[in-house]
Amino acid sequence: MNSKKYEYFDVTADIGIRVWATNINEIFENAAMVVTSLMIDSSEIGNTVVKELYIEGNDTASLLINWITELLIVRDSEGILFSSFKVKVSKNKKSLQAKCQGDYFKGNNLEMDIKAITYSLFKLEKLNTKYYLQFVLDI
Amino acid sequence: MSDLKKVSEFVYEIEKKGEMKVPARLYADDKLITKMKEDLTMKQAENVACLSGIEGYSFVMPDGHQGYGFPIGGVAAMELENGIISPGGVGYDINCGVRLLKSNLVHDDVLDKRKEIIDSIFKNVPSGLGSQGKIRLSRNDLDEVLMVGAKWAVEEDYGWKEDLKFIESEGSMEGDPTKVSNNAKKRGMPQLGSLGSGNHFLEMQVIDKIYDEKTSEVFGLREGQICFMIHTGSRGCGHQICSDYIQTMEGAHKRYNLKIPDRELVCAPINSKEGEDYFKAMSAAANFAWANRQMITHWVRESISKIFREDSEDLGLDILYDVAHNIAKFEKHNGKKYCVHRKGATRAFWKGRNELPKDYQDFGQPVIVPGDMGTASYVMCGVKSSSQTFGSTCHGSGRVLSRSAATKRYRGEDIIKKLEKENIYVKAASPKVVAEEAPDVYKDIHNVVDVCNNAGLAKKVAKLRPIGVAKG
Repeated sequence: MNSKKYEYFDVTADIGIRVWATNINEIFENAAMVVTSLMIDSSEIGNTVVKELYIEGNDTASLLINWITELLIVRDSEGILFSSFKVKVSKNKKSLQAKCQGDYFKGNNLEMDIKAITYSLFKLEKLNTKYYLQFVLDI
Repeated sequence: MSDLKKVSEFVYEIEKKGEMKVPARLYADDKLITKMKEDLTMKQAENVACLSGIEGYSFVMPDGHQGYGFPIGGVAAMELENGIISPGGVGYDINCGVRLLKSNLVHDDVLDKRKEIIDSIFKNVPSGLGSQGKIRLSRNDLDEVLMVGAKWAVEEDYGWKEDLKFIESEGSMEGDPTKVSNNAKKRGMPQLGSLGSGNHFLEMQVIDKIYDEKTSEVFGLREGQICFMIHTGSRGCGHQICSDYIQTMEGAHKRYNLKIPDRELVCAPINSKEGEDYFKAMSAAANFAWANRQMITHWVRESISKIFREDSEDLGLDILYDVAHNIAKFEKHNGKKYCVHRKGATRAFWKGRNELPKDYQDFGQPVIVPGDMGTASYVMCGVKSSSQTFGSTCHGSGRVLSRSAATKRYRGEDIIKKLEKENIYVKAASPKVVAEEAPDVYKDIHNVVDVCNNAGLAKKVAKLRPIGVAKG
């Protein structure tokens, strides 16, 4: 269990995700990875596009929501998905800087149509030395 | 669950307790209520009952199941003075809805052309995950779409002027593009005129049973007739508007001191700036969806017309009606104005209501209820007794099995073969989506529709059986 980075859980019409990491940056990186991997096999994404993103939130939960939402905005508006993420969350945990590497995806054959990340069943907490995150995607 | 009381044959009630301002009422028979008990449907119905200004009951339709914030199948009417409006009461896919096209074709006309028709529709209507429309819009075009909806599409020659009469709200609400973020516009711009994926679909159906002769005659429906059903919404544009306003209302609900039991239920007073802005942005997304379904209608007509080498007017490819099933609207009920939230629920207005097209004034509005791709869909008609739910009924069959459980249990290829044996041709962008949408992951549509019919939320008019499915 301790080495697990993420797992899915069942929600009637949507999909729930649990993420573990050793630090807050990694929680944001792993969350982005798992959301991407629901849409496409990450090994199929190239690394010709590099994008630096700056995201803000009212608190850490909304920062996480805005981070994943930004990835959906880039997906829909520019047709880009990322395969690697380097995230640096600010000290007050209300903003982050990220360097994302990826590529344009072609065709209409993504594995899953993710509409949005929701606050439903949302949890972000520190458990001893680990961080735990849980959220539901609207699909 | 001990506080759940059966108050009549198809109505269960959760009494007012704690912060609840009204009781909750769930429309179901014994079978459907058992399903609702298995997830968070009831808890979410109780949460909605806590919202400021809610009147009557927090309702759950027979196809209800767990959502986020509101349950899917949730209906709540807020009075205007103290009431709130909540993006969570509409959902991410704003104005997800269904449109039904009629035709002069009968089953025999299409029997040996099924594959050709569906393949052609599949080719002409962009679909699939991450699907993009085939037209390129300017920013001004998009603003126009967000302002006037289906009217823009008709003016651009995607359809006929008369089409607008047969769309809920005539396909246009007062949308304000200045209330829509740049991000929402960026997400929506490439996607206008596309079906998308997931539970969205386009089906060729045959009417195999008429329940109400008189009404079906007025609706222009008869046994053996071929129809086309379009199910899609506002794509990334609506999803982003919902995400944006959940963020905006995070601040608002604190500022206005509104207590909420779930962060997905963030809200603002209807009459506040945040509430008004959300309504204008939501209306803009609703317009996007109506323009989207209008463009798809045009491409369906083009496809059929080409195959039969006949004008689509001569083929009688008229719109029966177009209903929104994720929306908030201002409506008058019993002489009082309300903001009615319907999330996975359909308006079901009765005869005499001035919102109805003239042709249906003496009968009631058509309610289009899509089922799963292997079973059936229904056309129902609004009836006066649905005033008990502020004029609302079900929106579909409602899921019972999660998508990941579905993909573990079924293979898309097997489902396609099985349906082919039942004479249903399926063309899909991805077999995985077919597995996720396998007929057995949904509640029994006949059961859901019968409960609506028997509880007086709408009456059955016709049953349609799918014969061809194009799936994103």
